[in-house]
Parts: sequence; structure tokens; C-alpha cells
Amino acid sequence: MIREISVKGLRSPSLLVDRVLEKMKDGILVIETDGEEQIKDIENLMKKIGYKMETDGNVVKIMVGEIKADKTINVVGATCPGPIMMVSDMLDKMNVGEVLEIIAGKNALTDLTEGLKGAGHEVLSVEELGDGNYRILIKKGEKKAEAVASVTIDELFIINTTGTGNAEKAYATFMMADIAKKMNLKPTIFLMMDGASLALKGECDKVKHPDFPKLGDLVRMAIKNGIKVYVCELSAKFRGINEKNLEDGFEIAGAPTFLNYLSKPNVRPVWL
Amino acid sequence: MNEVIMLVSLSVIFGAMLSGFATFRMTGMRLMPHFASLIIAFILTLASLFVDNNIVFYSAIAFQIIAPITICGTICNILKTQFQNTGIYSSHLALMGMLFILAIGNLFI
Repeated sequence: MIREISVKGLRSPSLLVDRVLEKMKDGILVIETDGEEQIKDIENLMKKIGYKMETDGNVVKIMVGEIKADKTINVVGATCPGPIMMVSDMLDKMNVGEVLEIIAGKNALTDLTEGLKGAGHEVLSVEELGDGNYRILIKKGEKKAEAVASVTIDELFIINTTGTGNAEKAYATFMMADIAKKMNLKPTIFLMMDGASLALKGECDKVKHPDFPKLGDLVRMAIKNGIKVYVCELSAKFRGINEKNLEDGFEIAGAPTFLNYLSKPNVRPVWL
Repeated sequence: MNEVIMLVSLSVIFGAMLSGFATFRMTGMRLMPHFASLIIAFILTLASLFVDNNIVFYSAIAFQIIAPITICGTICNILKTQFQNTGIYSSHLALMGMLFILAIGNLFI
């Protein structure tokens, strides 16, 4: 069961939340808040009563007991685009509002959460299971048509397709990300095709132009500055790159993550 | 001691040096041992055309064989991880392959 309440304007939202939780046996309580202060108040309450909570902007989700999923699907072991296709097929057959439980490997985690969010579904919870797999609960939603309005572009999506085979483009990828960060444009890097070669452990350290710092140092600086670097799962597999020889801080993702970024109106793609 | 083959080898090395410069710039200026051995092979091959000395002749052949071998480590990595870029390296690779066969031909013909 999913219950939604709003605590906007309340000084002590925890009092109301506590009363609502008393009546709930299981499910998810979605609370709309004013911001940080109210979230803190709810967080203190959760610490007392021991329920798990997740914050997504101004919305707080509280998990009460075990959520019963209407359907379950296991996509462990499937390579991109397998998981998203299997899950989409399943969601097509479900009704809006029903909950789907997905058991997935780490490789498909970002794809599923990002891709399904983009398709209008709601990610209720992501839980790590003991065996390295994840349990994702998705509530089926409907993609709402958004009214076209003027949009400020505040994110850069830098796509590299050449890797260390073209050192200049490899440098440009991380330098552009660094400059974007300084200009308050949130940069995200996606390495695909030959670009995936940059994700091989130690590969970037081999590239050093006399006039620039070592590429490996630029990469580490980007990761340290919180720039997300995704590597296409299929391209990585083609090149024998896996979790074991993946450069630290890089994340394997797939087509759904890539397309989700490209479909956001506030994101400008940069192809290299 | 076939001067014609040696002259062909020299032209192949010269061509390889030019195409090698392009790949050298592309890949972020690495490949140092390969770069050095190719230049030494060029100097020795050129010298062997003018100097009638067995040591110069055999060391020229040795470096003609060493030069293509030194690229193996890098090119294997490129073929494995950046195969869509290999078109750029193909002219250099072709000349390196030719140089290897010419060097062996020089030794036995």
C-alpha cells in the first residue's frame, strides 16, 4: 500500500507522521515536505522508531514493513539492453499503480532506476541483497506529457566515442567536464564504443601530452570533483572490460541511462 | 647484400616514419621504444647503402626486425580496446608488416 501525505507548513511534521505510521501495517508512506528542517524532524522520528527512509528532493519515503509486490522479475545475469527490455515487457502487462519487484545485478542497477524513472515509473526503493544483487521496487506510472516551456540548460552530457586512440578528444572530455563544473553546468561523461577504452584500469596513465598533465591525473581529479563517468556496458564487454579491470570511480551503465540523459530538456549533449 | 631490397626497405621505413608520426600524435605521444628503433633502423639502412660493412648491414637488418616487434604490445592493446580507430593506424601497420618481410628477404636472398 502506498500512502501519500503533505506536511507542508507544519512546524513539527513528526507528530502527524507518527500518527499516520501507527495506523499503517505495511507499505510506503510518501511525505511531501517544505525542505530541510522538516526532513530533519522526520529523520529524528525515524531514528527513534527504526523505519527506513529515503529522501528525494523535498519528498521523503518511509518504508513500513515488507512491501508486497504484485509481480516479480529476476534479470540477474542479463546484459544491456536485456534487463530494461524484460522489465518494460512486464510493466506493459501491469496496471498503473501496481508494484513490480526486480532482482537485478549491479550492472543493470543505474539503467533500471534511471531508465524507468524516465519512462514515468516511480522507483520506490533500492535495496542491496547479500549476494551482490539488488532488489528494486517500481510502481507503474504513466508518462505525462510535459508542456513545452523555455528551459535553462544546466547539464552537459559529454559523450566520448574514441578513447585513448584519439588522445586529444580524451583530454577534451575531461577538461570540458572540469570547465563545465566551474561554470555550474553539471557535467556527466558517457564513454561508449572506443571511448570505453578509457575505462580500462591504467589506460589513461599511458597518455601524456607534454603540455598537459597526465590524462590519468585529470580523470582522478574529475572523479574527486564528483563528476559521474559512465561506461557503456556493451562497449566495455566488447573490449574485455569488466568490474575487475574497471578504473576506480567509473560506473557501468547502458542504453537506458544514455537515452535518459539525451531525452532531458535541460541537458546539452556534446559528442566527441 | 641486395642493394635493391635495401633501397625498398629504406623507402618503406621512411614511409613508416611519416605515417608513424601521425599515429604518434593521435595516441598522445607514446610508443617511445618503437619510435626510437624505427629511427635507428632508418639511419642504419641508409648507412648500409653507402658503407660496405657487414656490421652495419646486419645491424640494419636487426633493427628492421626489431622495429615491427616493438609495436606489438601497443598494437595488441589497440586492437583489443580501440579497434574502431585502427583505420587510422592501418597504413603504419601495413608498412611495418612489409618491413619485417623485407628484412628477412634481405637476410636470405
